[in-house]
Amino acid sequence: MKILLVEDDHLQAPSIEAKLRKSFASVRVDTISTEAAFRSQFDRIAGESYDVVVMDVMLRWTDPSPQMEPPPAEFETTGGIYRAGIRCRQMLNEDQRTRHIPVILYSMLTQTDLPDVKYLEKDADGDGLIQLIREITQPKSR
Amino acid sequence: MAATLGLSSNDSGVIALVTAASQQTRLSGVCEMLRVIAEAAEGYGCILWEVVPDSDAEDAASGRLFVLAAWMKDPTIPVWHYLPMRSVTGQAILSRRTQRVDDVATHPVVQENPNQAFFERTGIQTFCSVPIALHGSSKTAINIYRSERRPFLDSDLARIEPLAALVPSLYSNLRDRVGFNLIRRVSEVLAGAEFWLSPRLEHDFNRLIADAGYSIVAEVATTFDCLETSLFLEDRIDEPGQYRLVATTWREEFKKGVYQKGEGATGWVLAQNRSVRMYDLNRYEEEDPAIQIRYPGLRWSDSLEIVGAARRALLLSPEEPLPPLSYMCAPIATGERVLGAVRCSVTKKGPHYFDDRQVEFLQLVAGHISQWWDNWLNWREAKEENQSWRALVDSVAKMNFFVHNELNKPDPSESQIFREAMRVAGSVIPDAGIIDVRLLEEASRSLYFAETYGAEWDRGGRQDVAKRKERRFPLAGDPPSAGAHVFLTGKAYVVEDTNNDPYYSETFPSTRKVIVAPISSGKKVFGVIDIRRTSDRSFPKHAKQIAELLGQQLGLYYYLAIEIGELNRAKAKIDRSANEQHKMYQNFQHQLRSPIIQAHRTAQEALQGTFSENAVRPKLNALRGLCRKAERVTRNVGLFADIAGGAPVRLNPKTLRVDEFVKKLTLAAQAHELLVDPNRSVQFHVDGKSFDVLWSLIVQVDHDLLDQAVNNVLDNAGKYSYPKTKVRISGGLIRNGEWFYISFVNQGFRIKPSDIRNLAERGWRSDEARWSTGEGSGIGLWIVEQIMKAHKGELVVIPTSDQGLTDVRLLFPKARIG
Repeated sequence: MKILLVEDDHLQAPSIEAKLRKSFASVRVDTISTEAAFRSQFDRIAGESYDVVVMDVMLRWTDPSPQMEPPPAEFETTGGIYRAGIRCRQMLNEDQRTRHIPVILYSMLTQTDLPDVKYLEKDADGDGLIQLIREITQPKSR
Repeated sequence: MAATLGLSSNDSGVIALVTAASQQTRLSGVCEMLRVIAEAAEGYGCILWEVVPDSDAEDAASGRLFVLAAWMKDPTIPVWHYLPMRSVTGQAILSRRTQRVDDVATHPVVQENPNQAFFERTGIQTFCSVPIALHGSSKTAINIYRSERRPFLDSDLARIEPLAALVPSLYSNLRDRVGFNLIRRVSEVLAGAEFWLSPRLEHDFNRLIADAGYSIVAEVATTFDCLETSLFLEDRIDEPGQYRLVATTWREEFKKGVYQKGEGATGWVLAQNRSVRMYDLNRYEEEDPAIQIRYPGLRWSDSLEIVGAARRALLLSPEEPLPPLSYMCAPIATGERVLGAVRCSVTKKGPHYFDDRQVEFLQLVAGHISQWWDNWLNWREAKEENQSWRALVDSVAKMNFFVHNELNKPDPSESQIFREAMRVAGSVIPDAGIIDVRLLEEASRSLYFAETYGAEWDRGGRQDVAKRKERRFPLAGDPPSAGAHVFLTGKAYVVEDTNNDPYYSETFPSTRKVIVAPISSGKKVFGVIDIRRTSDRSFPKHAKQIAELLGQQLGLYYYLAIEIGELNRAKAKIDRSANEQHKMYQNFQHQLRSPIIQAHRTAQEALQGTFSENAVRPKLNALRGLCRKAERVTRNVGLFADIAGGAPVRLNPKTLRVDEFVKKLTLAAQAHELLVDPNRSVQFHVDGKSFDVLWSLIVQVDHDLLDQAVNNVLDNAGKYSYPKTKVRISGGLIRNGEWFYISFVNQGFRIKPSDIRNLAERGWRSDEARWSTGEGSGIGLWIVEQIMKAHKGELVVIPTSDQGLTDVRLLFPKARIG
């Protein structure tokens, strides 16, 4: 199984990755930590045939650096960092190569913050995430 | 017939002379009077001789006579025009007695004179010369010539002399009559033209002016029987200082169609506002000394080749003598202002000399023309003004509509409003081709070109254009530029002559006139509007008023745009603030839950032995950092809620101890270093030694709040520093050692001077900050500032240096003990 984890918190990402490795045998977890990196690597992502994408919702655009690339014009009007994961999911949904990949929005935000979005709230043990991935990836019996 | 009526032959001669004189309508009618006298004396011809003006009649050697008028039985025979005073006629004038020559062939005086050819051609054998006082002085004589040898008897003289004696008064009468008649006709012509110039009627006004001008010169030329009468007028609105030929009777090519003051005799008249009369242009060189006495500085250098032209016009062969080419020119003036000139030259028939009275009549004609022309110019100016104001009112109405629409936009553009106003100025002020708006640049206290209008602005190379547009006009210039002068006084100013103006500062070499009007609202001046003209044509009087009005309109618009902009910004801020508040709470949520969940997760992993031995300590440190972060965020939220709710920040001040504080600071720095992504490798370094300064003064702080402030600053430093950089924390004293500070220097996003006032604003985050962190509410520094204020201290941010270092300082005053 191949999982793409899009998570910008450097403390959370290894924990989630460790949980995934522990829960799924022979899983490969690739991690991306910013929206800019997701966009620039999109072609590579499309070619990887991930089984599932675990996507944080609040993501920074990029890391601080003297040569920071500014975000696209629609960045602010489409929610800025607060809806970065939703923009990335939309990119996956709109591309022929990736629209079939299940995306789990995985966020620390509550339903009040994301009233119109179906997502999974981050919990302390990560069991909810594992269960959802299993549901998505295992073939359903008739 | 005379005998039948009981009249003597002398009486009949008088009646014939008076009748002939009264029937004349032109000044050359004097020749008819000479005919009557010649016929009464049974003569072949009659000539009126006069002493050349300014020549010394008493000096027989240099004195000269000229033919004022002549009548000959055969008009094709040319008369000769000059005689020396040493002649029979001269003797008659000097002696004031009639002289007789019984035989021209033998008379010794006649034989000396160069007029033999005339006598031979006409067959004249005898003549008499009767002195008369034509102009009130005895410098004139009437000569009657006979072609048969029949000497003039006393009885002849008894008939001739009374007739000759009548000539001065009859001539004077004729001259006044035709003169006044001329004035009446000129008056009629001008009245007719004035009627057509009525504002109610639309006409080709230039054509009307030319027609009226030609009628006038034709009347003058006919009355005085001269070849040339020309009329020059200055269009003070379109071509000030240029006196252009409006009409002339001269048929030859006119080489000089425009005069300026001082050019030739006409220019002298224009400059001096005085009439000029010259007896004979053909003898200008000889007469120059006398001319200089009468008209100092006059130099006749007209390109009109008068002698050849006169000879052609008078049908004279090169050998034939010319009559005096008399000249007179009168200024057309209203008061001191000279509007033009009217001049006459070269009479076709006698009298061949314009006398003082004729000059007076020409001056009267000039007076009529001046009134008419002045009226016309005033009327035209009023009409233009009227049109301009009408256009302005119309344009301002449209501009108001435009501005109204612009101001209704969320972010109204002052630039668009200025451009529209400049377009209006260009359309209502004729020839206003180069326009601009200059506003005040506060930093340099200079005016700069905020907006420009007209193709001229973009003419030339890129560097020229940039240089032109980037000019600055300091308000403190000495002398100030015209723009600065207007800005400082708040009053419009007109640069009439860019070459000689104390305030004018050149932007375009081609500019000749400029109107500078303030852009103001009430007493507040925002800038100036410049309207430039490249022609010498003066701006109409009302242009200044129009510019003033436009400036006021612009000032009002500008003021409105600023106010409305402020209002819109305030509204946007409120809207943004509501949005920001929502985001802020999302952030709080995120910031509170993340460390708690992560700490929980890390603790579980540690308990389950997920980490290797080596990784345990860093993870436990991170766990501690996460707990502190959770604590700090919770406290931030609490402080935010309290302060935003209006509660004061309550202090529990205690003395800050060096060792204790440095230890705390070091632990905080370590915790923040662990919370930064290790891939970015941002290190924190505390210069413990630098805090030794605390031994020299006592600082009292609320330790919890100081922790909060320090951690907030460290959090920012960790989030916004570039990879592989160091955050340096140190302490020191400033302000004469009265204040203690903690300095946090990092190398990260640039903080510009203009950002400083926003930094501690609640919810404000720079673009880079918003783009590069996945969380953050923008209240960290705001809370730090509130904490510092509560300590009567300061939060000071020193903008990023050239080396890329930003210094955030917390300043505490020395404690006042007791």
